[in-house]
Amino acid sequence: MEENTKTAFVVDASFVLAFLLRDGDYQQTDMIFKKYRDNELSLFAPELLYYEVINGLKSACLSKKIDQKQSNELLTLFLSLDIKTPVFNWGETLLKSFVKKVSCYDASYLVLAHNLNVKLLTFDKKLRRVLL
Amino acid sequence: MLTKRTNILFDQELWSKLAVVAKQEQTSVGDLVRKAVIKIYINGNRQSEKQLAIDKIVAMKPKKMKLNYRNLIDYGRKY
Repeated sequence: MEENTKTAFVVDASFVLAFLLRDGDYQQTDMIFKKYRDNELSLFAPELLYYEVINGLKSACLSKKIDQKQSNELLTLFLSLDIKTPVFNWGETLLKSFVKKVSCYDASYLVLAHNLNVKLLTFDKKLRRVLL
Repeated sequence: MLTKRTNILFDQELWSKLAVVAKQEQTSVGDLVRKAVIKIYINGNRQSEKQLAIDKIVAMKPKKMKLNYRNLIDYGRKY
């Protein structure tokens, strides 16, 4: 498959939200997404990403960081990014959540990155600590 | 399932080239045309949507909101 021959990363909601909301280390997110745009790398995530990102947009809206119109626009842009969500192993996710003492949500990102043998890109401090 | 039929006219030169490619790939000219249509008009559109979206996001002015993403995601789950 073409995607397996390219550099790839798993991205979590914090990384995608930082890109969408133009917050934090936007230079790093911009660099990654520009390479993704130019097909120089592939991005993957568990399906959970989609729920977490729309939750994040809703929260940003509720906390007045953006308005509802902007949240809709950002959702459309996010869906256009077309980040692929491969099927992964639920059993491994449960096991990883016990071993790493994280939620099954966090474990799903870790398992996917492990199974694809790629790096996880995240701005979540807790998840970053687990990766160390 | 292939249920829709159309007639496409080719000039001799293009037809000959397609016939050679079809033979090399052990398929039909029709199959080559279907694959090309998917590549250009179906997957190509998704690709350009992605490119446009990324360009649009990158063009937005960065904000220093210093968001706590875990809080942001968890907050959305509560309400």
